[in-house]
Amino acid sequence: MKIDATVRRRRDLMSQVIRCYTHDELFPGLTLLPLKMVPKSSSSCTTFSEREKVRSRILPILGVDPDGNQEEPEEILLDIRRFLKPKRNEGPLLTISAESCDGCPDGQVLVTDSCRGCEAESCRTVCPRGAVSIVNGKSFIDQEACISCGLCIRACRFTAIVKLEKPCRKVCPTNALSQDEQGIMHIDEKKCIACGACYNSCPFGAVTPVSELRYVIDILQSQRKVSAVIAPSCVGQYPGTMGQLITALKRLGFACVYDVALGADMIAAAEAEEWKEAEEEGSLLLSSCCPAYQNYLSQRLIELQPSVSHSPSPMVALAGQLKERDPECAVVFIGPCIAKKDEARKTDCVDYVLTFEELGALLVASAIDVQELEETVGFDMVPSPEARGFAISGGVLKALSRMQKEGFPLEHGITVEGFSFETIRTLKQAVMDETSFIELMACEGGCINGPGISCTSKITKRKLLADIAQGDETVSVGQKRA
Amino acid sequence: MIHLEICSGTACYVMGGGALLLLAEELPADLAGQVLVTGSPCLELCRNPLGDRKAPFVKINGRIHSSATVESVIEALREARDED
Repeated sequence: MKIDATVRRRRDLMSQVIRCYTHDELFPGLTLLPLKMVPKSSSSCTTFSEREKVRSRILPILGVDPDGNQEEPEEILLDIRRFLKPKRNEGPLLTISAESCDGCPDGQVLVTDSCRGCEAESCRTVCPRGAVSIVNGKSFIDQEACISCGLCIRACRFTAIVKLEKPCRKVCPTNALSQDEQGIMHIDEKKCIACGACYNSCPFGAVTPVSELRYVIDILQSQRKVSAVIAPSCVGQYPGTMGQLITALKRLGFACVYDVALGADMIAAAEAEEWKEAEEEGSLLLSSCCPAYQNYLSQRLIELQPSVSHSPSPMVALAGQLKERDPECAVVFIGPCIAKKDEARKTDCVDYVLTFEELGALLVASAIDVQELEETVGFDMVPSPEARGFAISGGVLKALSRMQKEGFPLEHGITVEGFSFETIRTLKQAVMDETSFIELMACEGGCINGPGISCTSKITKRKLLADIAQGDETVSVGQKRA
Repeated sequence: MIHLEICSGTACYVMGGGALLLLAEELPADLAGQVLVTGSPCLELCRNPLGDRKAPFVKINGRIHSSATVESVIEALREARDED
């Protein structure tokens, strides 16, 4: 994920909205934000529509789904308190701002100015519908006749023919996005698996998760004890050290901070045992930790669902234990994932979910400078190095492999990432062949590359691998492994 | 030697400053070995906004650059080199 101007704009807006909320300046604060962010320009029409975009994007940051209300964003902002629900939104996880959506073209095949009008006319000859003709010495495509098959695109030796695609629709693995008459996109909640791919694909910043930040701020200000369970991929997502990040979280009001890798430690042994059984029976086991992939299976590959491991995800395993110990405490998961918001709604042990991006905005809004803080010495409990590796693609497989006895056919375990055509074919084949375990990861590269990260996964991967290697060394010196 | 200071305050870091810390390894051949890249404590520029200049901030030989990206910093580094 590249931090471009769109990402910077949305993060800036997120932290300003949160600042208004924490400083109790919702009105007139929020109504002034669009004016501040979009200064008056020569075209009053542009100024107006740009400000309207900002207004519509303020709402999901406060957990209000703009699509779920009849009122215009401006009306809602004037009376925002009335729209802030006291309880977590059960509506969509991701929403598209109709004001921001460009309604960009989709599926059309067009000849660009690069056409040389060559003698070969391969685009014309290859077209199965006779849609390509030569007009004024250049190729021309009759849109009525064109079926967008793309043969002419491949035939052109100047790459002069292009297919226009909506970036959000292109990356959606379940075809959950559809357009209305104006070309404005809408997300079908029933089809959406919350993978978050569309979030970072839109160059207009129109796709926004409906945030739970406000609820988290509220419980942090309440008397309730709040525990943060943070994903191991947080390494390198903020400046400073891990100890400083823990201090920052405590400064925000979290009473305890736990590494989700502790949950991975809780489930790894049972999942390794399940793999062993699958191998012996000649059946297949699928990992259960990626919620977006679980959603995908339940929609598209129902036949594979019985193969999913019975182990809960590390988040649920850890949060469940925390709730068991103290049923009164609130648990907030903080990670790179949007689908975890969906998983959390389906359990009763995780109260709220924040992405790393949202935590970043909260830290900025609270003027907490992580690298200036004193260090809290580590987590309350320390997970094993390989459990932290769950965050990197291949890590689950590695951890389970280490638990198998000598001579176990480790080559029967594989990792599968994303939802490409090849990936799905591998999955379907695995039922037939000798594969006995598949680690499923919706995000390429693993959780470190999730849609809610705040800093490049390159830094996280490097630091996490270094930490894991260092941990391994310590363990081998101590000659003992849990 | 050109001195590139990258603000590592939380605001700059999450606005893309974090990724800029990798610049030392990603310098194009014509700049390699000529730039000293250091992280810096918060330059406090985010708290005293300079008009519409925004995070992430970097300093190149003491001169402030805003909305810094890998591409814009490399461009500014070349300018700084040619000035010398």
